[in-house]
Amino acid sequence: MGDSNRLTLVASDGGKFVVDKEVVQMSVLLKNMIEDLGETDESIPIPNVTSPVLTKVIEFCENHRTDAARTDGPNVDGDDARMRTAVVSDWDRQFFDVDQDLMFEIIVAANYLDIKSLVDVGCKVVADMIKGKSPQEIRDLFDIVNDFSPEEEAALRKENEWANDR
Amino acid sequence: MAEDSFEQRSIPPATLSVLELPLEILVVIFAIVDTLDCWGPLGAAYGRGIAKLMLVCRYWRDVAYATPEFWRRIDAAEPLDRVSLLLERSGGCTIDVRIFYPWIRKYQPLCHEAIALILPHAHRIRSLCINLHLDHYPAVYELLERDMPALEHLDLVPIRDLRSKGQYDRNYATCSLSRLKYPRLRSLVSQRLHVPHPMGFWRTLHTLKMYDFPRTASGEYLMRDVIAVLRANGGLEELVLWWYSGAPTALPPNHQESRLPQASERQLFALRNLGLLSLHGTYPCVKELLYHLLIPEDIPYVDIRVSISSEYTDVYEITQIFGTLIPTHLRFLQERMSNVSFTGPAGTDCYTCCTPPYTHADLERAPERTAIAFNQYPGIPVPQSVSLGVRCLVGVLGYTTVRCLSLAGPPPPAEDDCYERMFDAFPSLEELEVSGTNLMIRPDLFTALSPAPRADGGREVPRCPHLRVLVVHCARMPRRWTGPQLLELVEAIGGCALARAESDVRLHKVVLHFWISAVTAALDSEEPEQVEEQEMGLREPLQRLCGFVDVAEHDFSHGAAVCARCTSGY
Repeated sequence: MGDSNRLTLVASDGGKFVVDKEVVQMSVLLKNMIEDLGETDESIPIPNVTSPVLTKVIEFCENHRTDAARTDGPNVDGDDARMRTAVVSDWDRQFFDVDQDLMFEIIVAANYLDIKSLVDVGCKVVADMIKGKSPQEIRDLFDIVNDFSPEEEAALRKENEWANDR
Repeated sequence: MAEDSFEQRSIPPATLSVLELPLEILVVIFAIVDTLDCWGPLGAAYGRGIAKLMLVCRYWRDVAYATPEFWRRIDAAEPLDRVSLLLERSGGCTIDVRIFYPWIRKYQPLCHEAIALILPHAHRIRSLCINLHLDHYPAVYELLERDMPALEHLDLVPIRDLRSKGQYDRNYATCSLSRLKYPRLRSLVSQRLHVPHPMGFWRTLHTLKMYDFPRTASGEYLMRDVIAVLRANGGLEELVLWWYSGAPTALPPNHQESRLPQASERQLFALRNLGLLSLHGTYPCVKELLYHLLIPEDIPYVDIRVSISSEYTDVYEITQIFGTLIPTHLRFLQERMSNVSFTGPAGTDCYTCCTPPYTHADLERAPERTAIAFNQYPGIPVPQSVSLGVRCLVGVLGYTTVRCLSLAGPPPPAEDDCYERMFDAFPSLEELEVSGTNLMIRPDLFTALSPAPRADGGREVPRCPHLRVLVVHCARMPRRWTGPQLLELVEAIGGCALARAESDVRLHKVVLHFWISAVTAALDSEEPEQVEEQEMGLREPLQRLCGFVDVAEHDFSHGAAVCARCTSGY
């Protein structure tokens, strides 16, 4: 029998990670899986997450393992106060100081693994990148093609011109 | 560690773009951007950030259109076409409505039109926040009379017109709230409104904030009715009761705890989830409520302010009264009480209101605070025994570990050693904030904090040796702001800082804010040049002060309605 406090995660590319259960349980998905499996030496496959991304996810969970349990993720219902006041710590900001591709991969992995604190922080970091930018600056930032026809764009601007009035 | 076990392999690079994020993630990002980008030159407008994101590409536009929750926040003060647009785009989801108009009468027709647009959507209202002058309340009666089965949060605090204070204090809106109409209500904030009788009151509230003593359409509440309401809402997480009007003021003859029924005979009720308790009011109300209330010992935020009638002038008796305010079963509150504020006598013509001890922003910064204040406010005459407040503070709180003391209008010293005795009672003090007018804040206050010189040329250990932060907000009184007087105050603060530095108990930070309110400026005959000259005269002593402390900040401001730095008004 191996260490009952640790288990092995297997990334989609075969990379293996031996991690404390306490850390793994920040993921609601894995926590439920562990509860279903009971005591086992079996590795847990994470088919949708590559090793570099899983490395980062585990790094985050290791760093936040002592945080209070966070059960309520941000939602579109608009918990404004929480969204505004949820401070992204220096460590978290440094953590997300990676290529955009990897940043989005981490957020998607966190969403898949149901790690709400990581989703929270990731979304806040992306939102901070967008904050205060014009539509064209946002396109440039994320390499998005403007697929509106001039007429469509003009109509949309007119429909939303109230937003610029204030 | 994961890194130790990671088997290195050739890994394909990640190639995800923002457009490939799952919809639920994109929606969250949009919602956060909207809260960050909602501010425009004229204030906040939710939906503003989303409107910008819609212009990025078709996919984002479609996401915005397909998410009614983005458009649910409706401000009735917006132009009517925007209100209509939001009601249309939010179709199918619940809405959060805010109806705010200034008290100026010309806005009333607009208010009616906006409410007429909202009325058909009453069944969708999840949150309703109405800030209107009582004169305008009839405009919302029709809305309040509707069934609102989705309503969870109701905030009805009329705007106060300072020019008609007496009328405000008498009037109540004639509409009545009803549990039958709003069965899902979880949060109620009310003032000047009739609430249901305890039998018909909501029973599943998690937030209750009432800014006057409750009243039904047919009559008064009694304290036992209030207790019945709270007892029925055992899941309350936030309880704010500020009862300065309509509340009983007469002290019951058996105000001392020893004369009240023993704990075993009492009908205690528990609010086990309570995280915020704020009780401001007359002594009898607060006392009786605390006497029956059980709260968690680890409650993060407690703020209690009490006032007593002017008929009590005997220091011993008042100290006894305050000293028995906190019943034995809540003694843990007093033991951990570290933040104390005291609002001084309202005997001067500059005193207009008493501010809450902490603003919402303070709460966010430091959520765990326990505070108590002995409060005197306009409406109940206060004893003019000038040092009474200080002596009560010392008598009641002398055995607690007070780390932060806020004196809003420090009482003038009636006896020579009044301030000395006060600071002697707070040996653990770390932060002292003093706000008031230049008539209230006297140099003696700071002299009391200066260590006395010793015969050998050194200095004694000063009072409050742990004091590190000193903040002074000094408001100018009309025609009574003199250069020499102000200079004397600054010199006293500087002398205190110097003496403490010499005594190796250096102040870390000193913040001095001198401000002149808009009202004062209008009343004052002094020329701006004279004011500027007075301020210039302070530059040098203020500059000297910088040498005695680690951080020194000073600021002069003019024309504000309240002190911008501490939000008090004089």
